[in-house]
Amino acid sequence: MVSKHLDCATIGCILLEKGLITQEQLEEALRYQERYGGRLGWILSTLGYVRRLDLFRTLAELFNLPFVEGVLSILEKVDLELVKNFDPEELVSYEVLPARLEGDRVLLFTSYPNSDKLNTFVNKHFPGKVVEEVVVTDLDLVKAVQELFKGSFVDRAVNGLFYLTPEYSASVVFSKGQVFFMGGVLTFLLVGLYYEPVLTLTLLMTFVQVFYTVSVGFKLLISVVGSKSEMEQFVTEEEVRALEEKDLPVYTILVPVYKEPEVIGILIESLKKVDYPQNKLDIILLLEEDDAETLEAAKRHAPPTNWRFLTIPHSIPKTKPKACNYGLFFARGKYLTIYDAEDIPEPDQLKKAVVAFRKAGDNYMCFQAALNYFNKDENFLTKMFTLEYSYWFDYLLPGLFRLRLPIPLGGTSNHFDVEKLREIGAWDPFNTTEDADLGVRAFGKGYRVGVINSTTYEEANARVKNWIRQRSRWIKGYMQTFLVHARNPVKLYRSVGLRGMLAFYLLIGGTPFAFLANPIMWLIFFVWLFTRTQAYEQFFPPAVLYISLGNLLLGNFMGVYLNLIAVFKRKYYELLPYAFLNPFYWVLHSIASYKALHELFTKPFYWQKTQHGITKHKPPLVKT
Amino acid sequence: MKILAVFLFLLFFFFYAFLFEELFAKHFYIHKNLLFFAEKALLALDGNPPRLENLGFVYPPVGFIPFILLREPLLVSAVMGSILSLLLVLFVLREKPRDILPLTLLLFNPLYVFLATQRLEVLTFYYLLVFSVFFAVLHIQTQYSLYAFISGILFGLTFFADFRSLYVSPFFALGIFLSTTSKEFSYRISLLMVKLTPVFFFLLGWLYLNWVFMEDPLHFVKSPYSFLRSEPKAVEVVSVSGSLWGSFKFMTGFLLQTLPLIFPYFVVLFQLRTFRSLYSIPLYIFYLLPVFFYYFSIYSSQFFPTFYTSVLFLLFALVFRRISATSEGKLFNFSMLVALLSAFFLPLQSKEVNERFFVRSFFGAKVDRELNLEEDIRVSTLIKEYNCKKTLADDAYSFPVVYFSKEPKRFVLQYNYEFYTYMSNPWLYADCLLLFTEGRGDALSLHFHKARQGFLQGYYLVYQGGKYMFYRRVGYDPE
Repeated sequence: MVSKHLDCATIGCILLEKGLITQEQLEEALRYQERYGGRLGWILSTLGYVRRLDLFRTLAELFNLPFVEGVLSILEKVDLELVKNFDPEELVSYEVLPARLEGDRVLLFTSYPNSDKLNTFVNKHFPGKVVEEVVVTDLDLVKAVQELFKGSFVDRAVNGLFYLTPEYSASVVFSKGQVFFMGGVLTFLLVGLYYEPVLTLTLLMTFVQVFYTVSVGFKLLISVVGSKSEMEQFVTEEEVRALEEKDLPVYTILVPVYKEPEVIGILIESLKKVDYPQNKLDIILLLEEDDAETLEAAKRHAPPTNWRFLTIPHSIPKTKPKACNYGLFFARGKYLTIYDAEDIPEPDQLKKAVVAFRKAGDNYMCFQAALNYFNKDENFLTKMFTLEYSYWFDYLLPGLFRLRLPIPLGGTSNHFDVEKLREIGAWDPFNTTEDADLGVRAFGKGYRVGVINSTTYEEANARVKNWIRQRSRWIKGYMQTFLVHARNPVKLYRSVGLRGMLAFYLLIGGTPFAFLANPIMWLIFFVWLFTRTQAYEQFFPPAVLYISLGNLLLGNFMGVYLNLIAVFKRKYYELLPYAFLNPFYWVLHSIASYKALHELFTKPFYWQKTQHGITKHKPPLVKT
Repeated sequence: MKILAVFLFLLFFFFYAFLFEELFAKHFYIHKNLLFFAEKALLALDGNPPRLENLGFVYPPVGFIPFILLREPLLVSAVMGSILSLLLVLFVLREKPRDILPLTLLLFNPLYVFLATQRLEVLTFYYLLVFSVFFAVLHIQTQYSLYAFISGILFGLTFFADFRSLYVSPFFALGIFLSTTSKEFSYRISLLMVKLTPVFFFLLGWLYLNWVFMEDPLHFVKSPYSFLRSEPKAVEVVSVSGSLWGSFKFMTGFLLQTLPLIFPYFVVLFQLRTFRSLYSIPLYIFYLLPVFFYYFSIYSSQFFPTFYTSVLFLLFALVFRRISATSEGKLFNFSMLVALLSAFFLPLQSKEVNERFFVRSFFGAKVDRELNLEEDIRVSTLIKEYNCKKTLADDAYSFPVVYFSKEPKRFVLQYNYEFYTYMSNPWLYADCLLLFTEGRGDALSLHFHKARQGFLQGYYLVYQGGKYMFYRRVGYDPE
């Protein structure tokens, strides 16, 4: 095939000749290509110099191929009988849609014409056939495949994990065994309370107090180990600088949004400043079908060509993990990460993740970056939230990583190896902390999850009701995750080992349990404090009393003190006095926990939406 | 390194166990503090009823913990002494291997050995204090939060080893404040809070425990058996207590008197000038903490002039050698040698009988009568021989007997609810009575005036020795 632009053999030349770009823009793109590699046309469009439509139309002209615009135009030419024989993910991956097969001639729509990738596909499925290529835009192609395989995509986004490994799906909240177990425990308690109330309550109290002690000890150990991450960065600046940028792989960024038009601008601006070749970024905005306002806002901001908007067809459950699963089908990257719409990642985060994957070894499936808040100074709640996150991501998770224990992933900024993510069934759409579940599941499957020294700044929840909604979802998710992985303790033990199992019980099961038990213990304590009643003595034999006192004094001290320390790494010194107010913050946790417990029984898969964009604090400018 | 650590631990263990056993076998000597902790732990574990509050809550708890775990003074002494010494060796090997010679000189210093075998609670306090300072300085140097965390916790724990550690809090605060003048104000305040929160939190916790178990949060201060009143009183200290100038003069005199023992401390003091990462003044404040500590102990009349206090100075010197990064070592080694040699002679004149005897024992001296525990052991055997099931005694003084009996249920002591009922009508309940006749504090001696003369209604005198009188009940019927 020969271009009709006889004196032009490159797309840059044609675009220049057509007046779609300037000489300076072309030179800049060429310099960009020299530095980062990649296709010139794609570079020009990701730099925002050429519109998507112009790019693909010109591409068609370059190869002297026909060009079709619009999804409907594509669909009307597609033979449904032919298409249904193909795996939609393969079509997306090869950027091709077979439309008709007539005799030895096959009609293919493609957004990557005349490429090795296309030839591979043809040789695999249509060997010896005469191929007629029709160029379409990448977006039209994806939309057409989406339309043709809508049911399949949705079904796999919802039930993919269940089909692959039903035992890991939270779609069944309680297994039969768990129902029997809980029934047994409840019966035992009731019988015990009737016949031996003192002994029963003493045993119960002993269990709770021993749990507190072990839990505090565990967190202390993890935190001390985790604090060493300050001394030894897993990825150094030198390693990032030494990266050969031409060799960087395509990186997919999934951004699930729902009714968040106000933060789209922040997101686009911050992702534009990410220190990663724009032509190797594959940014997918995941929108719900009924969220036209966010789609409109996104269109208004006219992001570059490397952005794609995917609309998730309506289905139940309407959760973020389902949207992410859906997005994963269309991901082009070798690696993938998730950002929330209001996220501001540190610019070199993706590069750090690439370095981490390369140096850590093949059994790493994911690296979690730290999360923190840009509106920490807004009010009491944001301050406490920031303290909590600073401790969690700067001390606790690095500690788990160093001790080779399962890591409950955070909601965003987790960087995945796409192949491995697909292999283990991706996210569980029925789990409301799909990220924590994924971290544990990956560990159980023999993969490791690491932590990288980079931060994403988010918007801390600044309103109590909104905070409780969000926290209740997280705690409910922890409950779900615990229930899923504790269904078969023997299997859990075999897959994560004794240490991993203990860590799982203490962290995933222990966190909601502690929040649920706290108010009861506080009540017992305050009743004693104000009445000095002797009635408790029978339930607190000396050993239990001493453990309880230890928990009251040292446990609470440690809870506060670890938070005091957490300010140092990020130099949030002004937050330090707020660490002393942690007991009030714990009350909020307990309220959220009871809400979570209630929802676990009444609406287990309901996704309590966190409202973003309500902060009065403007996000800081990201340094480039 | 692990093999070396195990080897060193065993070496220390056998060395300390041997020394301890030698003193006990030849001289019937164990420091009474060890027996006090051992007896209280025994009451907590095997008392009637066994309860942690039998420990009394008047002494800092650190001294009791090893006894709750290991029970036997020999074991506690050998194990804890070895652990502490091993920690120091590992610290020096890791941070400044060149200082292995002065370290060895310290480990063989008889005053250090005395503390490692007989006064573990004191040595533990010294370690906590010196490493708390070390990690504070390390944090200021490196900014690593782990060091701030460790420093704060260690300093907090000093309160549980010696309540007087609160005295140095203001100087810690001052040192931190001055050493961070180039930093932002909020950082300085944060560091202060991290450093001081544990100690005040632990203080509040202790007040709370005293309130819960003893009905008075200040019980540990007010009690006649309070730790703060436990040191013997030296007339010269009492005479200057409450006077800033008098205490200063006394402190200066004391430092001069012990100069050969703490010579290394002064050597390092003058070498600190070469240190660049911190300002000199705050570093001096950190380094001078032992001086401040003892100065305020003198001021509050909670000090007895012992020579073993020099060990705290020596530990500061050794640890600050690492911080000061001074390479010159000959003078320091020499000073450590001087300290070692003087430790064999200066304590021979000590007013503190234990350390005096301990050092004299190296020269084959006999134990002082008041330190000899032979009679305590004999009395504990008698109690068993006479099959006393309820022996009324005041264990503020006769705790060695209770400990050596190993059967606390044979005794009715102050921690028992029925103690004062027994005191009112002993012949109704108590099989035997044990009086401590040395000194005037024993509750039974005070209550039963004639008992010291050998008369006690309803009882007959079974034994009278230098320290104890032991009565057994006759068939007396008050009706």
